[in-house]
Amino acid sequence: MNKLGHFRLRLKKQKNAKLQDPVSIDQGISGQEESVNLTSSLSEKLTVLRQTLGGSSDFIIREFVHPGENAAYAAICYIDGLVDQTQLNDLIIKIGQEDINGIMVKDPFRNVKEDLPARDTKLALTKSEVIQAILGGDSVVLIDGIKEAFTVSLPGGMRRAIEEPSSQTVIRGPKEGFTEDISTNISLLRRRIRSADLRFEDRFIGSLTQTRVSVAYIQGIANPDVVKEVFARLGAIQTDSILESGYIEEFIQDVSFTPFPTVMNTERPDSVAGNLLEGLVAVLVDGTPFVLLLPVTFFKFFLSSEDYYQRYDISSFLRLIRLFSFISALLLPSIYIAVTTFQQEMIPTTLLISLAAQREGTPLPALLEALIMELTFEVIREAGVRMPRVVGPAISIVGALVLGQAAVQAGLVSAAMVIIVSFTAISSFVIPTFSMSAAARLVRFALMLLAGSFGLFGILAGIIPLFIHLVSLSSFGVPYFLPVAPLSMSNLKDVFIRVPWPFMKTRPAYISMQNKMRQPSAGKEGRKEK
Amino acid sequence: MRQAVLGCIILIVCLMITGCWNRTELNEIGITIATGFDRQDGKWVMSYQIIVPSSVGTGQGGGGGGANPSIHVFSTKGETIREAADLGYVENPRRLYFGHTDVLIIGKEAAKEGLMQILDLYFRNIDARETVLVAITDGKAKDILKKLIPPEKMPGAALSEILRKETSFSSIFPLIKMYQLAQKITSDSGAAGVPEIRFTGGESRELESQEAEKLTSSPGKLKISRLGVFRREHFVGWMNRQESFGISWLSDQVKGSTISFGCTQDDLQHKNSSFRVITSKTKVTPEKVGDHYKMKIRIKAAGNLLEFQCKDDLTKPESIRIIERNIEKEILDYIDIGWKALKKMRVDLPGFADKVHRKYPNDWRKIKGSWPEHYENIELDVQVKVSVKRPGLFKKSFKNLTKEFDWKDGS
Repeated sequence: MNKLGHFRLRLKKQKNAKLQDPVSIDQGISGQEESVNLTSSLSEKLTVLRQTLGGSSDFIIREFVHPGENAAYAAICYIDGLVDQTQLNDLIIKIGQEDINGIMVKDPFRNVKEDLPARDTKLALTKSEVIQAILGGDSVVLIDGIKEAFTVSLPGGMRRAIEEPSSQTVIRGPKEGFTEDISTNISLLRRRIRSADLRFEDRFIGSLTQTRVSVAYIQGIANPDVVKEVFARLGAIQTDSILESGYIEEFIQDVSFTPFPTVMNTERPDSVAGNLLEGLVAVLVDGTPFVLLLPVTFFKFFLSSEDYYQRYDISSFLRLIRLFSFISALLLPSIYIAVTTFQQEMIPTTLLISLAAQREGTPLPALLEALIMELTFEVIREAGVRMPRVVGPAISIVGALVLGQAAVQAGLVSAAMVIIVSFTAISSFVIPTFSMSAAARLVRFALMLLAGSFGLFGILAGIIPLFIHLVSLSSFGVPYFLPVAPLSMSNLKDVFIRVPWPFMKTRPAYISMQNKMRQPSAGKEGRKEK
Repeated sequence: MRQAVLGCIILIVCLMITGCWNRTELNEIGITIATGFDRQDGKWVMSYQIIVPSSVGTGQGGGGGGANPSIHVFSTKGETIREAADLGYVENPRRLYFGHTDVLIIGKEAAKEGLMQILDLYFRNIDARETVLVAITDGKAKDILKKLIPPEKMPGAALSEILRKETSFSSIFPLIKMYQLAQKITSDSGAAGVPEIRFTGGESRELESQEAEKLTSSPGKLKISRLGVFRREHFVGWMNRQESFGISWLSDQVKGSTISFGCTQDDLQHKNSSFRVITSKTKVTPEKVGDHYKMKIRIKAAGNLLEFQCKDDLTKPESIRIIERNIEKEILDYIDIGWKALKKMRVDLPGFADKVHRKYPNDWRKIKGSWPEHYENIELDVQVKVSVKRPGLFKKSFKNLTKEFDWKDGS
């Protein structure tokens, strides 16, 4: 009793002391510097921890008396909201029932796992280890008289449930998407690839955020050079924070100044699993459902994971549709401008006359008209993303009626232009990867200016450098335009079209040269059909 | 990096300061759908039919059309054709745009005097298309251009469609494009036939206002009525329908046509059955016989029976043979009429000269200068092979079905 009373008193004192002498933030940031070993006194240990965390209100210490022969004070420290309270209570009761302290005194290393009723129990010797464990969501058991601290993983707290991915939807295929929690995401992948060769290697990046970044690859399929390069580039990141995988993407991509993405991102576990099996490397970042995939080629951005689930004929058709949409998203407005203001000879007579009739009385030149309409659309679209969901219908009415129909009826914009702009807009949504459609949207404006100045000649003068740029890009050593340039016929079976699965015997060779065979002993059916 | 930025700036500045080079908005061009050339007082008169887009297309607000005529015709006079065209800007606010011109109409005076100048214009300039259809008119081209062709919105386009449809469905007056005209008058035979567009019936100012569109049938019409014949650049005369059709057979220009025939070869009065030519091929082989040339002309035509009023039983191959003989006779008659007219006019429209040149290149060198005389002595050896592919949905004609009941009428 006496001991307990004394303990409480000490606690009060410490609280007062803390109030009087708040720990400065600087001290908190420079958390790394100490590899100071912990002392055996509980009160000292707690004081040190409190000071280091600056009395942050989410830092909780639960103190209790550890009964038994070697009765001692003990404490569990954790961050509120990262720990499952039920399990924590169980742990405290369990600890109270057992004479852990006695065991510890005898042999600190032996009984850790057996005696602490929790999974993933580790020893922590230094202060910084303890702090890291606490901030990482572990609970730390401190016992008076024992120098070592025990970190116990009792994950809990609020997490978003697994939902259907919002940015990449499919008709056929799994409906679950990644969440913000990296361990959930890893489990989603592991559930799909139950192989010992699937490896996850973690890095903690960001001096302040200490974000867990996990690199996933399949040993024996992924190119070891690429894996090495990924780790090298991740290791070179010097920043204080990683809040989303976009940070990582921009740090590790090959070329910064290009509108075209050289790292792909996806919310779909099945897509990541499929790409891992093709030899790609995935980078999972804690706190975001978007997982990076690399190395990627240009044409990879036009594939949807659904292509592999639907029948091969319809998926091949849809891939061609997507490529066509990309081209029209990129070129349609500029071709319209060029043809109507420079190369009128290219339009069939009746179409020309009906276009001319629509342009009769419109005040602006075609280029300006197109630019204004395209910008208007981009504004509406951005509004659609940013606005509160409740005002959604209002924006659609304004967008569709006021800017579309009314502008045409008022004679400000020709109806053909509205059709062109709408088709372009819809086309840009067909591309499965948002980052690639963004590239098309940006380049479109440059091409429109060129078309407005020099006609079809200008478009060509824009497309040629664009292609030169595209073929000069590479993603982690893989040429961006593979397998089209340099041409590799055998790899075209899964680019513009998808051949049926029995015929897809090899992995795409350009991603990784390792373990090429997908179906090592070719199925009977495949042979028969040959 | 710095270079890239510099490059971008230079590019942007270039785009800014050049403005939009050679840019013409759709509402700044006058789309010329048909042009016409006339000669008047030793000068060229150029007429062009410009589309009024707001009257043709649906235009803004859905109304459109109706109130105004869909075309407007300007005419200007100048020393040369293009001078006349450019003088058009004194009265026409839009840039003349010839890229979509479908048909060119040459007035008779212009045809007589200046075909070469027209050809030169079309082959020298990029904006004038040598694929334009050529037609000729007895009077002024301007008057033809001013006529509407109800219910069509664009008379120029309608004219070219008339020429095209006539060629593929009747083949009496085959259409000719500018480059074909040039090829023909510069070939060895040096003759070309150009269809004539003519305004028939009605008063001359009819069809020149929108009133014409309110009638269900206007008395005056634009029609293809004759074939204008050129020898080199000179206009030499007209061929009528039958003559022209014969020439079409001779020169392998029959793409499709309908031929009427009688029950017997001699029955010229009662041509009461008809035959549709679907395919036809004319092969001409020159052959030297003594001092003159013989043209072996082999025509193969196939088609369907459209009407049949004879008593023959179509289930029997013999009666089909008879029909084929009758049709062959008709074609031979047309060829005969055409050949006579050709000889009379001394023009080599079927292009026999080129055939001779190809077959006997050495002889050609000698006779080149005196080809017209040789042409007159040409002997034709025509053989026509017609095959009736389908006699139609029933075999016996109604005449055949009712002939056994003839006694009822008699009693």
